[in-house]
Amino acid sequence: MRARCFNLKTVDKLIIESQLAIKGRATIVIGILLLLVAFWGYMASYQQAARMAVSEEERVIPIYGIEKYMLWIQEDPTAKDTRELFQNLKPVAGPNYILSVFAVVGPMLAAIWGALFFGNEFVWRTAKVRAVHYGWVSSIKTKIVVVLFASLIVGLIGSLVGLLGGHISFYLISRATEIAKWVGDPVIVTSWFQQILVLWLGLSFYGLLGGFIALLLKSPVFGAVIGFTVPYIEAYIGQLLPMWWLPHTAYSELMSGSFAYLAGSIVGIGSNPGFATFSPSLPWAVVGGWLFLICVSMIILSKWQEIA
Amino acid sequence: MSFGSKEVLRGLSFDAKPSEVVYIAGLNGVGKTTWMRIATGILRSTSGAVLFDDNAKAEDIRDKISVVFDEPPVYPNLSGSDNLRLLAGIRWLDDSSKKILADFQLEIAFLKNRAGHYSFGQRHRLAMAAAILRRPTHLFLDEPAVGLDPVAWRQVEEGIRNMASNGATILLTGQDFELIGPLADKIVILHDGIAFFSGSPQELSKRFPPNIRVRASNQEAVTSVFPNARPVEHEEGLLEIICSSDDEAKSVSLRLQELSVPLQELYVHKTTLKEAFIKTIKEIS
Repeated sequence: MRARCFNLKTVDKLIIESQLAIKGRATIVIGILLLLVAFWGYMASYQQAARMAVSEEERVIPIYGIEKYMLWIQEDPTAKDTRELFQNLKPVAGPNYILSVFAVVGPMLAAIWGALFFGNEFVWRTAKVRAVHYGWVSSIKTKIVVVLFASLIVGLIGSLVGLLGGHISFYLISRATEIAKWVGDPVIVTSWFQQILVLWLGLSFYGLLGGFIALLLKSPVFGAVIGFTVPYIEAYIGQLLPMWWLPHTAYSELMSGSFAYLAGSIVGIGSNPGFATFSPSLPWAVVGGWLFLICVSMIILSKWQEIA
Repeated sequence: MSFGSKEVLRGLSFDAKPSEVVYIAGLNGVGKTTWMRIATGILRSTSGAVLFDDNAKAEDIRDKISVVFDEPPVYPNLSGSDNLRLLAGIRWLDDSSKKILADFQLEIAFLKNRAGHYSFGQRHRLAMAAAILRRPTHLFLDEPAVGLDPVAWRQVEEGIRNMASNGATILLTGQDFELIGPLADKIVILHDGIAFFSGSPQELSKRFPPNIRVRASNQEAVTSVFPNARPVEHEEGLLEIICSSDDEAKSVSLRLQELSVPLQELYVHKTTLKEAFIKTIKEIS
């Protein structure tokens, strides 16, 4: 055995850090939680649509007749909510539905995940060894990249789950009632890419926020608790004062502008009129700016932090 | 280096050469671990620096450094082999890695288990293997003998010797003089923030020449000839005659044998490393 320089490339560090993320218990638990939320979303929407179908078939259709009812549900503005109940279960609405659900619950779970991903290094005392063998700044930089990448993966998986869930739910509701087949596809104005981008911004920012607090306090528990509650505090403050610069306010604006919240969805969000007076790109700049700021803060903190 | 108003290390200076095993000894709390943390770059010193080849600091040559701390850490949810790769910073375990693992009795089947279930000793062996897998030119070991059974220690000892013979500098701390002492090429005794002694184990032992120990039925006869003979602590009836050199020890031994007093025991007692350390610390205090 010869003593030699051991040189670890950036890509190796990323692979190693990704393995740590993938094999972590928090990833498995939070991944399952997100899938359960998606499943619950479809279950709730399906049940609501099925109940409505029974009511329509028993009470409304016998009065007006099928042809008149078909015209009504396809075009009439008063049928909007009933129409959307079935549209929400269509394959084309699937990615929008699941991504919008993930965009609401994801940041809170991301904050917990981020806190555990960064903070557990202190609990397990692996931080010291990592700091010597990899360099703490390098470890943190790699972890940041992994969080950014993981957020993107969640967006892609959410899209696929939505697509698959849409096919399954539409197949089931079509078997349960003919009404589902009469309803046309929903109009979703924003692109799939934009929806994934919004989710990516939210998950990345709150994931790193949880990580930043865990890093600062050297405690995953504090990171998770504070990171989890920050969006609530922001939402509360945002209601009292027009604080457009708050990340949660800007993120809510992005969500309301990027997702179609159809009737029967388990999530819904109102628009923030405060942004109307500014440029439409302002919420993007605010959330993007916060994300950049948290990344830089983490790198600076890790540079000055003593691990011992 | 200071913590609050307490200065832990001040004016500490010593060097360590390639292939040298340096044992940093000292009482609890003198700053051995603090020094190791500064040397490995995870703690900043208020002044001064630990410099490696070409005046580089730890952060400049991170890839050449390995460390094993006294509390060997693991990722509890990951398998032993995943831990090895993560802690060592390697993508996969090649054939040469498997040889090292075999040396540390880390079988593949064992490495498939979750590391959270490993005992302290097993974690220590894992940490040692991870450090050696990096093939560093500078290896830092904080209390390497703690928690290891004799067989495991033998593997560690062999690993250290192999690394040193291949040009690596080994710096280790610990309180177990019997185990660590024989490995060391150099001993640095820290006390009151400075390196009070820095030299080979032989040089340290030479500071305390051998003594003659004798057990006689008539102690007065011995003490009348050698007034400086003193009873040995915890050894009933055993007297110790302090000598200033090996030659004096020989002459005292001959004179004792010539006495018309029956001797039950007579031997030359060479100062062990541990005794030399204790005596040195007493001297300083």
